[in-house]
Amino acid sequence: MKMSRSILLILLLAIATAGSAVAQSNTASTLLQVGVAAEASISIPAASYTFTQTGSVFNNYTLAMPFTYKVRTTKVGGSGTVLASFSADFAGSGPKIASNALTYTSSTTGVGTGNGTAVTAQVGTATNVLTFGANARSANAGDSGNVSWVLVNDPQYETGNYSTTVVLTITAL
Amino acid sequence: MATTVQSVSVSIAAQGRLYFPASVSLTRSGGPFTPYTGPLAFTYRVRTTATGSATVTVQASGEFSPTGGPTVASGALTYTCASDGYATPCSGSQTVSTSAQRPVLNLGSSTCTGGGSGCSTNDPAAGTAQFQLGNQTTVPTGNYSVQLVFTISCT
Repeated sequence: MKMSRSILLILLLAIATAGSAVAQSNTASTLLQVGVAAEASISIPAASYTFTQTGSVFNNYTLAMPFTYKVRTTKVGGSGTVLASFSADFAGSGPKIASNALTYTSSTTGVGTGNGTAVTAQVGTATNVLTFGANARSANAGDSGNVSWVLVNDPQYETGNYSTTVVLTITAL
Repeated sequence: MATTVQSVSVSIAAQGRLYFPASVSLTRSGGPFTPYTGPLAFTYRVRTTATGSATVTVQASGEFSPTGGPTVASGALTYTCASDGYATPCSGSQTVSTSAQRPVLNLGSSTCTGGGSGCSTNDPAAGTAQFQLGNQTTVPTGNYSVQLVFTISCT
């Protein structure tokens, strides 16, 4: 009986020694989760733009305002917009947004739909620049849009420099 | 009365074990289209031989599911590593792969967790992988997930 125990012990040691020379490994796994939601961003490349007049006298003033945007709307049932808003009118005795002197058309080379028909800007009420449907996704580097502004050149305006601020807001749902 | 002497012995081999949470969620790190980020904290126990070493690695078991979302193959999923001081974390930003194990932690010879005096003070010792996923505009909205497999190998 004692002889048998000794043999068993030797065998176990041999197995253990052989095992220690082998690399041991253990694994664990984790599920990495992410929820991709609707989101949007917009930027105008310059801090200010100036209307110019070309052609004949009393031709309207025009201005091309480019902007870039990124957008992702919800895959099903989503939507989005780019809106233009003015919180104040031109100051002084010059052109007045409130008198419907400022209109625009809008376009994009990317995702979304602009306004081919002129839209009259308003003070205090945002107006549409671009519209996005469900699952609208811009290029990762952003898409390019443009607002072509037209400002009436009325002889009644006093000469001078006039300015106001327009805010473009992008929304994705 | 009789006595007997029985020889007993044990072979202590290199071993390692990982403890990970079942899941981790990445959240947007800032404003629109900023990357999704999230820390994955884990712990481990390890023992290496006098001439051995140990590594903790990570590999994606496949692509994000459902398809159409972010992809590991694009290199969009990266991570940095940190440890509680006992192990050496991976260097810089690493990119998760579906075909190769990428480094997370490295340990040298004669390492052991717990007890101090050459072993780690913490038992189990701790590490963190800070994941970052690019927020591509082209990815449709939805919930996506991918299984990450961490492996600790010891000699």
